[in-house]
Amino acid sequence: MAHTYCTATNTGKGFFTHQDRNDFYLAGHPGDVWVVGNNSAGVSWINRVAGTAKVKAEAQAIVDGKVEEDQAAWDALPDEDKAPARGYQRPVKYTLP
Amino acid sequence: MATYKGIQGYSVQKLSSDPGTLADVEGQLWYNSTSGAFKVAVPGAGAWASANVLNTARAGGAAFGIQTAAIFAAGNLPAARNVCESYNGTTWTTVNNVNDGVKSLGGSFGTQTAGIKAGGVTPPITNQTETWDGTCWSNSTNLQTAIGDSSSGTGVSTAGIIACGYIPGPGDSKVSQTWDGTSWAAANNALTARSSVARGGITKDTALIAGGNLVPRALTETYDGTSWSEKSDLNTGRANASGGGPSTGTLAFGGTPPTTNKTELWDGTSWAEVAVMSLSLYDRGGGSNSPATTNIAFGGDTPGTTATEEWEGAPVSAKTVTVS
Repeated sequence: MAHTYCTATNTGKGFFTHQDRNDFYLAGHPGDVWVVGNNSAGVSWINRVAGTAKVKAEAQAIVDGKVEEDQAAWDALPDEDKAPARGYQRPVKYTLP
Repeated sequence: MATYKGIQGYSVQKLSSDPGTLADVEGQLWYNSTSGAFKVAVPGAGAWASANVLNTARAGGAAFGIQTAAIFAAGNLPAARNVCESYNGTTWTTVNNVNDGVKSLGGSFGTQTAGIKAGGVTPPITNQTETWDGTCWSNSTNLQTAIGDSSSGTGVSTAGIIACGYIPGPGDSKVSQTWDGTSWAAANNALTARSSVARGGITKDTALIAGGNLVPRALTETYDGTSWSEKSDLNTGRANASGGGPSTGTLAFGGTPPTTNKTELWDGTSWAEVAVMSLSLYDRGGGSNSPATTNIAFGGDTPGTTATEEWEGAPVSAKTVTVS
């Protein structure tokens, strides 16, 4: 399996380092979901940040739920905040890698 | 045994130690007689790392400065249009509000102690200009043309330029305006009308814009103090990318659609893809006046986030060449 999944709160500086980024794949998603390269460095990082392991379906459900929440917030904005909407778009669902 | 000179027709330089400034010999090969190894100077990959987050989530604000001294003011979220924060390389601190809250800026540039924000959407699209003196924002001379959603801006408080953006009625624009520290003047238009560009260049006369709301969203233009000229395209076309850096080291990151974490580095001639951010976002703030090797990305959509990441372009290093 190329990736593993977890939730973890970004605590700022040191949460992931330049060295981490060179050592394993790491991508953040809505709902504090992180897709992590499934190697020893990636697993060590999950432990270091006290991440909560998730299977892909669980991680996807968290992301979908957060996107739906953000969509509702966007829909509730007054029209003047959506137009011109060129730089401010309604969030869309997507599939995790 | 075949020799390198026999194969290539020229000799490899023999040195007793590696060159002191490896950046000056990037791509060159030499023989280190002390270690008995062939070596080559290669650039590092660079990487983004997490940094301490903003106090207020937002995107599309006035953003300028460098990785250790940056300003992020105003922005897209309705409740955050007046907010201004200052970064010292470690922590974001909320400082004095802007006077006129806006989103989708017409442009911004400068340093942590002297900057400019211009235009934007209040709504409606405005020509308001404010100057930042390191402590307070002050209203200043208005833009000649009200403009929003440009995201451009290159220069310092005494000489800067913004280009393109969105104008009510005409729509996407190629209008270019220069700032002399006191007032705005019309400059020669950019070549292609668009909004939501990435910016770079640091000085007014080396400004760069790239991407934007046009298909294929990859066009790059540079300014020479008089006129704009088209240069090599981004590898990944996009709007609402962010960026900053010198004319030979501008970084462009993020953007949409689709929302991406891709980062590209401009070397003065062409763009090259480098390491991606951890988050896919658009309309982030960036260090407008950062050197090529360090930059910062903060905030972004969608939705508005507090996330901050710091870029370190790895220096050129000496790699040993494996030979049989």
